[in-house]
Amino acid sequence: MKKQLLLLFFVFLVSFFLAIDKGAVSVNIFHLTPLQRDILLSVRIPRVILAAGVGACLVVAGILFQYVLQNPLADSFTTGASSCAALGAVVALVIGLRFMIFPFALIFSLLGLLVVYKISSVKGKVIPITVLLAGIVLSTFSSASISLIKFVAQDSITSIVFWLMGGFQNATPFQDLLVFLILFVVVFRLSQLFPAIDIISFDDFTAISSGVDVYRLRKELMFYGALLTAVSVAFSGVIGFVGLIVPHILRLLKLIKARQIVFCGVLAGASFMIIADLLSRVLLSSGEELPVGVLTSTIGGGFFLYLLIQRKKSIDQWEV
Amino acid sequence: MGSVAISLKNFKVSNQGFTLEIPTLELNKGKSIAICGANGSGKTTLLLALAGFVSFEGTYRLLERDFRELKRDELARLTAYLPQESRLSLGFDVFYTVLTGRYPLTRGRGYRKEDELATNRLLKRLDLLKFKDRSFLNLSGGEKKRVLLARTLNKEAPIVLLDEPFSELDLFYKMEFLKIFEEFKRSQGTTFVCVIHEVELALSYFDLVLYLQNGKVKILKPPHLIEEKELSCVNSIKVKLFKIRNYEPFAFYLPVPDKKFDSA
Repeated sequence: MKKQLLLLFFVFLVSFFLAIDKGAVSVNIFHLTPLQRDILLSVRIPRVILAAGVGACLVVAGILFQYVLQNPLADSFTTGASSCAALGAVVALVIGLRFMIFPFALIFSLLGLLVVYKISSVKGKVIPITVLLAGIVLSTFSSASISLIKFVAQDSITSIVFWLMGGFQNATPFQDLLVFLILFVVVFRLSQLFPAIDIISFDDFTAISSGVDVYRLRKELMFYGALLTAVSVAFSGVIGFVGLIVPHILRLLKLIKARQIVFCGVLAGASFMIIADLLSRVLLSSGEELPVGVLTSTIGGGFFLYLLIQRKKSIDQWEV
Repeated sequence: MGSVAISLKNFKVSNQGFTLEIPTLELNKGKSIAICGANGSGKTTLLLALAGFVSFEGTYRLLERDFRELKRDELARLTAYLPQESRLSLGFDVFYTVLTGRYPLTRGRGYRKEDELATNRLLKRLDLLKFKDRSFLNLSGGEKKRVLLARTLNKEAPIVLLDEPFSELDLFYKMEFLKIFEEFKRSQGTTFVCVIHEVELALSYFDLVLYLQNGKVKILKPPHLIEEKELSCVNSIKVKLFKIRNYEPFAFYLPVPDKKFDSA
C-alpha cells in the first residue's frame, strides 16, 4: 500500500501544480506580476484546494455508502444524497438564508438517506437493487422540487441557477478550511474504525458475533457519508459519479481493505477532481468554462454503463 | 472456574408460532455436541439462541455465568459463531479474511503481530496457506466454507457454535476438520456445538447427540447409547446401524427401503 500511496501523492502534487499554473490567465509561479499574484492567491489557489477537498470528500462518501449498502454502485449521487442536499441548499437560498446552505444541505441529505435506508431494508438487511431504485426516486423527487421552487420563486432564480451549475469558481479560503476540517475529522475517526468497517462486509450474524455493533456502525458511517456529501454540495453544487469511479478503479488495483481504499481514495479523489476542474477550465478554447459537474457526469455516466455491462468482471471485486 | 460450558434449564424459544423447548441440557468444557433433526426441527433456532440472536425464556448459563448478564463484546470473545449461510461481499485476501476472526481479541486497537502469527499457524494447519493471497470471492464454495471455518476457529473462543459447517466440504476435509476440532478440545478445552446433517459423523465423533423434532428433544445422549430403533423413528426412515467392535465409538448407518418402496 505504501507504494501506491506514494505514487498517488506524486500524482496529486503534479496535478496540483499543473492546475495552479494553467487557466484562463497563464502564470509563471517563479516570475509573478502583482496582478498574477492576486489571481493566484485569491482565485486560483483557493479554487484548486476546494476542488481537491471536494474530490476527496465525495470519494470517501462513496466508499462509505458502498460499505454500508454493500453495493459497488452506491455513492452520494446514486443514493440520492446529493440531490437531497441540493434541494436543501436551494430551499436555504430561496428563503434568503445564504449562510445556512450547508446546514440545510446536511439535514436534507440525512433525511433523504433515512428514506432510502428505510425503503430498501427488510429486517435490517439492505437489498442492494432497491437502494438504487429508491435513490433514483429520491433524485427525481428532489429535481422536481427544485424545478418547482425555481418556477415559484422567480426572484431568486439567478442565484439558484448559478449555484446549481456547480463548480469551484467561487471558492473562498473559508470554504477550503471547512471542507478540509470536516474531511480530516471524518478520516481520522474512520482510521480508528477500519477493522470494524471491513467486518461489516460479512453477513450481519457473522459481523455481530465478531463483536461489531453493525447497526450502530452503519448509522455512524451513513452520517459521515451525508456530512461529506452535504459540505461538497453546499460549496460546489452537485458533482456526480466521482465517488463511484474512483473507488472502483482503486478496487481494481487491489486496494480493497478499508485502510487502503480510504487513504488512497483521499489522494486519488483530490487528484481526479483537480484534473477534472482543470479540464473544465481549459477545454473550451473561447475562454469560457465548462461546468465541472457536466464533465464528471459525462465521464461518470459512461463509466456507470460500462460497469453495468461488465458486471461479471466486477463480481471479482465485489459480489453484487 | 468450573467445568460446565453450557447449561440450559427449562429453556424455551418462541418464534412466529414455533416453540423450541429444552427441559435440561448440560455440556462440559472440552466436549462436543451434535444437534441433529429434520429440516425445520429447530436446530438453527437453538444455535441462534445460544449465540444470543434470539431471545429465550428459562435459564441459560454460559461458562457458569448467567447469559443475560454477558455484554455483547464479552459474548463476542467467549463464543465464535458460524451461521449456515455466511457471506463476505468484498474480495479480501484469504489471510485477511481469516485474520478478521480475531477482531474481538484486539478490542478495536488493530491487529497485533501475534494475531498475524496465530493466523499463519492456523492457515498452515488447515492446509490453506497456498490460498493466502487469493481473493475470497474467487474461491469455490467448499474453499470459502473452509476459510470461514478457519476464521471462526481463529478467534480461539472457548465455545464454538457451528451451523452445518460440513455441508459443502468433501469427505476428506470433513474428517480433517473433525480432527482439528479434537485438537482444539484437547489443547484449549474448546467446546463445540454443531448443527449437522451427517448422522454418521454425529454418531462417531461427537460426545453427545441431540435430536430435535418439531422443537422437542427426542434423543439426548452419548452416541454409543443410541439404538437403531430410536434413530429410525426420529429420521422417519428405517435405519440400520453398524458398530465396529474394538473401534468404538465408530458407527455408520444405512437407510433401508420400506416394503412399499421395495415392491414398487
